[in-house]
Amino acid sequence: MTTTTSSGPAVAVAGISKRYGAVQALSDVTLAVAPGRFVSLLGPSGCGKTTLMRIIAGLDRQSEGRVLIDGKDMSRTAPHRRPVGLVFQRYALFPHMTVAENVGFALRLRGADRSATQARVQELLDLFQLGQFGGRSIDQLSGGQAQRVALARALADSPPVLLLDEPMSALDLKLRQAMQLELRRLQKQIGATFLFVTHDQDEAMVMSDEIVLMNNGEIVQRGTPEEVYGRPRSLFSARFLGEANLFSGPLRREAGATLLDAGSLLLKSHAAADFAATKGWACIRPEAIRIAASSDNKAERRPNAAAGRVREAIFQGAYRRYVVELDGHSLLVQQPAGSDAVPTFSEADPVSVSWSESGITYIEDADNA
Amino acid sequence: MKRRDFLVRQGQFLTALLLAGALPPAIGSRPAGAQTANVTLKFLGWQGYDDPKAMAPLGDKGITLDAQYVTGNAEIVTKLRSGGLGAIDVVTPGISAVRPLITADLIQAIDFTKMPSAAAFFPQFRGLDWQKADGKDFAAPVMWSDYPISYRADLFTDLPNKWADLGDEKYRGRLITLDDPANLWVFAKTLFNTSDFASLTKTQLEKTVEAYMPIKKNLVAVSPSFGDIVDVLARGDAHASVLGWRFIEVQLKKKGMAGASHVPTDGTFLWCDSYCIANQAPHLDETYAFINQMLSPEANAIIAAGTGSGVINSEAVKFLPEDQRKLYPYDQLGDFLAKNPFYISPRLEAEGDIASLRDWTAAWDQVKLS
Amino acid sequence: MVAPAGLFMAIFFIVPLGVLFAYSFGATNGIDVSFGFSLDNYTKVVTSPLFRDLIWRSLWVGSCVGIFSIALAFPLAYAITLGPLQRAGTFVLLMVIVSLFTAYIVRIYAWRTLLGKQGAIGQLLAAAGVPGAPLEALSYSKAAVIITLVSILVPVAVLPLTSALSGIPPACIAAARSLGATAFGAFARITVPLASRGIISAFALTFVIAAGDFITPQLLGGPQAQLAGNAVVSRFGLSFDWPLGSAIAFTLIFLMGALLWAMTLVLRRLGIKDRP
Repeated sequence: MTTTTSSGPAVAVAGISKRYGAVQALSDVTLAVAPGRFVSLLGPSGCGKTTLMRIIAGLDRQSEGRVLIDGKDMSRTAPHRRPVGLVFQRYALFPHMTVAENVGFALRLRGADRSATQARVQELLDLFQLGQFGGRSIDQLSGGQAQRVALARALADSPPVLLLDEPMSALDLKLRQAMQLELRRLQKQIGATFLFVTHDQDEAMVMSDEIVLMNNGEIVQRGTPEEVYGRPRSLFSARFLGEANLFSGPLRREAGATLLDAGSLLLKSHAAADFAATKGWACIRPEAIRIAASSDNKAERRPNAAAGRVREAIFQGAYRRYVVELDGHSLLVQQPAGSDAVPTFSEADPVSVSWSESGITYIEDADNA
Repeated sequence: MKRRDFLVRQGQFLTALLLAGALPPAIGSRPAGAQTANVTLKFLGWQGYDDPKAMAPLGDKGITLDAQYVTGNAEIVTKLRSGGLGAIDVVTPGISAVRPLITADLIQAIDFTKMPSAAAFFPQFRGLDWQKADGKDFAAPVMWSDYPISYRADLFTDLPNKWADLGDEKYRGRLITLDDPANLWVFAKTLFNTSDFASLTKTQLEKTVEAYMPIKKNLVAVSPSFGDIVDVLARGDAHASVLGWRFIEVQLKKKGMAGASHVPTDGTFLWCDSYCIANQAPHLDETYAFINQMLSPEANAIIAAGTGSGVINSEAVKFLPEDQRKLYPYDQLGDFLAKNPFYISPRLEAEGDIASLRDWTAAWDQVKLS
Repeated sequence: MVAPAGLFMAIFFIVPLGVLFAYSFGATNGIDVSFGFSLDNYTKVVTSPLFRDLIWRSLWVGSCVGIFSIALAFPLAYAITLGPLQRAGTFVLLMVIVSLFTAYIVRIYAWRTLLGKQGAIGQLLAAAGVPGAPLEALSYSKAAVIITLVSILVPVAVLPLTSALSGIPPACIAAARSLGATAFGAFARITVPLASRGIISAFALTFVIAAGDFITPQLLGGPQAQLAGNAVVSRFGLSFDWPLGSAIAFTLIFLMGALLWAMTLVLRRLGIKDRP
């Protein structure tokens, strides 16, 4: 169904900056999205992700830089000539039209004949399980139905690129989770390129082939959800996606390994041999930490291991979390629950913790640490 | 009778003017020991004939006025008929309403011997036909005026000899007039040589309308009030008002413009308003005192200055503001009144072939709106 | 809330209007008005070429004023809601409301000054070398009445339009653009239909005020541009024929209602619905 002809990126922006008066909303953003991919623009509110999306759609004009869609320079092209569909945060359905009229809007504009329009509209309504809702007015729809109508409307003219601006933020959690999977399935089915704007890291991880993490008008990191989560390249990445145990200290090299000295803790990894900084941070995700019973509270300092005492033990259904009090540090640990193979602990239990080298990600010391 | 609209607009200015003049500023101050009756008279009539400045000396006698204004003479008849008798003391009908008021037994005869001011009335304003019944007087005239052409002497130099000359094409776009059927009466008088418009037939009305049509073609606007006409003339948007008023002359001169009035050789007609005492007036003595005061030289001049009309008290002329003393030909009043008679308004009720007031206003509407 | 509002309407609107309506079936002998059940007055209104002309002229002038007022008010309302003057919106709206408090009569006289022979517009046209003929047509003419009423009623039209336009989510317009609508297309298919209730209100308000006006035609109309209101005023004033005056007024009211109803119907047929 996609009409992508070249093998180049479906959407690319190069050197995009946007200023509103004195406010720099985007600075020098460059990004290329391959066809057929589901890419999330993820970041806190005000990071510039929506602005970037509106610039791609042509609804805002960039101060500098270029926008290429399907290989063509569309930096100055009017929005109605850009082959992108758009789904808005609050759907922006046309209240003076029925569901079917909304969905068929783009087709009618293009001058498609009546029967072709009707057929396509019905096809889309069926695709979104809205078959019998065509004649309804917009205010008779539930939130989830309205959202599906908005999607159907944006997809009616089969745009090769669909831009979605936080389309699920108005839905409740259950519905949102169901829609996430549905949307992902849909994208695979039609094969279009989806550029999905969200501030919800779970949503981004569940749905995306690729996450583009943004902060302060810049792209901070991009990669697969595994890469961005597993190998955060900045403190911001580490903290924004999931939870992180972060330790700072001087770095030194020793026999091909990199060591970070965080006082009572010593972290050591061979995986980061090329890491050149002399001072930095180490990030360990809570689920990368092993926890075991221990009677020896004053063990000698070893790399990638420590002894302490459980300060808090929290049961969360699928897993248990512990806050472990170490000498001068506290550590968040997460263990799967419901398995007999994994021992459980209570508050004040003495424990030992350890992690493998691969669980450590070194992060350069940034100014905003 | 839209001239009253004009009064409202000019009232404040004149008040200031008169206060600065030679009038005794007697309002509110009451000499100790004076007799006080504390009577409030009920007045039903035209605004202006209750001028508080003119009434000032009555305040010392404890006489005050509760004034209710009318917008047409017919209202005086209606209100007296529908429960006004016994409550209302004094009314101010125009000529046309006096006869109906007498006939319907709504007003009482006036004893001029109880009214010392009457001694100084111009002789022409005594014993007028239309105020008499059974040899008794029923009305005391207060103000009168005529309908001249009012014009800008600097712009309107080609004065018409006769009224009908205003239909000449050279006046196209230069004339304005008041929204009033009196426009037609002026022409009816020249056509049928009478000012008793109650005697004219519907056919005569039609002829009058025909005679007026050439003038209508020359009109720039039909204005709602004389005040508005002054404004249009002052702007130069029109040069002359077909139906004019001598007071326009005064107003234009105040604006530094050459205002003037002109009566074509075929003459015009006059109106006159009077004070009448309602039957069963609750305060007869005070009503006499009120009318006597308002017709005294000073008060009559104040009312005339305020309404731009002519006085009926010969002693009043010298109390008029200087620019109004020559407004009416008081020196040759006899000649003027002989040539330009008082008019009788068409009847309210339709009767046979006679054109009623409604016929005249409908005809005027047709002229002005079509 | 409804009961007191209803009572208010009943006392200050329905009852006086009802009395007036009752008059229109009555008669007068020139002194008293008597009630009755006669259609004579309406027959007079319908058969008299004068009244017919006046009523048509009122409807025509009212429609022109309504259309021109909206044409001028819409860009302003748009600019302060969806357009470039959003930040100044409150201030502009305040100015508009303040201008509503300027005395109506003062503005009529201001236009007389501008449109008169010695007026600014005349001077300007004269300076530009335009011959005098159009000047004569401007002061004391139908054009003068329409120009003046439009100038008076533009602020009246701005209010419902602003209210309607401010209710349109900018995202709807953006959505239409992204779905392939040109700027004008989005305006015609989204903005205008969504503002249609405001447009209809603005038209109804300005149309009714203009078609029923008698002061502006009296002061600026000249003998060729008098409206039905002027005939009504004479009936209630000089000629003391309240029944006929009421009949003219109610014929005008009825036709105004019919025209507005027909307009709404046509718009609905065109797919421009009076919602949301």
